[in-house]
Amino acid sequence: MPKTRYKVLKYLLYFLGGVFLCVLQNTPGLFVIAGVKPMLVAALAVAAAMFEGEFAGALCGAAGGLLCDIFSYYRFGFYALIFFLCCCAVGLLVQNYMRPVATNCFLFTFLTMLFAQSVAFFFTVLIRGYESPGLLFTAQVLPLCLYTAAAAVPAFYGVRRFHLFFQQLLEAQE
Amino acid sequence: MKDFFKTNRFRVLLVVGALLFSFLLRAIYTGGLMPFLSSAGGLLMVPLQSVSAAAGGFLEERLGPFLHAGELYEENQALRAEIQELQEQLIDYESAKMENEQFRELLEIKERNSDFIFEPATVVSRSPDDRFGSFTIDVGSYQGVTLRCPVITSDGLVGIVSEVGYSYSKVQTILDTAVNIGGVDIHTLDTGIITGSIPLSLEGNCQLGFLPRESGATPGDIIVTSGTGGLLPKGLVIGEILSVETEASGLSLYAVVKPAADIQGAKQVFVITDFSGKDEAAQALDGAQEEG
Repeated sequence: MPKTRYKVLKYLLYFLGGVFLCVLQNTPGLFVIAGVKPMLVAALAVAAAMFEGEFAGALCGAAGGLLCDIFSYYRFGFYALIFFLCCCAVGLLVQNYMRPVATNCFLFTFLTMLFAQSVAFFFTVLIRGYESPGLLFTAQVLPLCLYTAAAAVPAFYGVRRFHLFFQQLLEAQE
Repeated sequence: MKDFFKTNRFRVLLVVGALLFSFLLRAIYTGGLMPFLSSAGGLLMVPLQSVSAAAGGFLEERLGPFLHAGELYEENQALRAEIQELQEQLIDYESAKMENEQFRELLEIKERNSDFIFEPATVVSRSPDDRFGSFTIDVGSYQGVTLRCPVITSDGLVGIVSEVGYSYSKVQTILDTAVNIGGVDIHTLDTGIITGSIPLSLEGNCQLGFLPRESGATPGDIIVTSGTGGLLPKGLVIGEILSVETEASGLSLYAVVKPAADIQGAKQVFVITDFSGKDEAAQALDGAQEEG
């Protein structure tokens, strides 16, 4: 099989994985702990960005963000833009300064979620002057970020295995 | 890393970023209307989400008793206490009779509203980022759903439609701080605005704000929609007053309202797509949505 086809197959599988995780994360009652659910697609996008570099990572982030946007509470395109920027930054950081390890994946996912949720929180709650915004932040936003970051650890190992499998296939072609 | 900013890849990423930003601007500009990509995405995802929701419900039914043994025990205890309470109420016949009359009143409200056109819907998605129990249902503009259509269960009002796609709609619940609905106490006829508040929504309650200081509203009173403005029909049950408090300003009162419908656990809902008295204000909104 030519090299390009393997790459197309790899990114197609990433996308299908994203669709699958999107369906799971939005299913009512699934993975709920104390009223909080993880954003599994975000975990997958960040893990993919760590292994695929800034360019493919950014595009994975944008695609994952668009999937999240379909059922999101916020305006369509919000997550696409945020995940696109964050995954590009994650890809650049891992390529140049940091190692692709599970701890970093946890950290990157937490920071990505914290950034996305803080921007959303600022525009939908804080700026409107609702009562007790801190309560909402600590009771819902922070647990969401932590739960998603925890979900990023298995996503990291899954993506690493997947990435290495395709890398071996591509090397065998060369 | 400096080289990255001079490469063609960086330029491609800039173009993609600009495109995504323009999608976001378009979504903000068109208000509740979803752009083409969102509707197309919805067409793809809603059937998958429906299957997943059905499978989730089946598993929950089968495994629920084992997984939630602790909760069931607590529920059992609560039900025992409730039975005790109900037995006491049965002894007090007059009290029971009064309650019966109250329920009759509610039933009459339902019977009076024979003009409603309902569209049954299933809750197919609850996003991890929802703050106030919002959800997505599997009916959209194809089934005649329009912006701000009321969404109810057999128990009472759940919320209003906030975004409409071709085959799905997003629902903002009455726990949401962004939702404002006219409400009236059927006992005292005091009117106010039903809206969410962050501390109350975390407990699953909402508030009836802007009650006059001389209001006679008391715990146990039933709150229904006032129908003011014609966006929502009159007489939909919203919930029951738990307590009446004074606003921080001291100028008015607000009542803590426990919604009659199970908002966080709703699986099947009804969208009221039409009702008599759905006036020009609502139609103007629908028109604006279609033009957008």
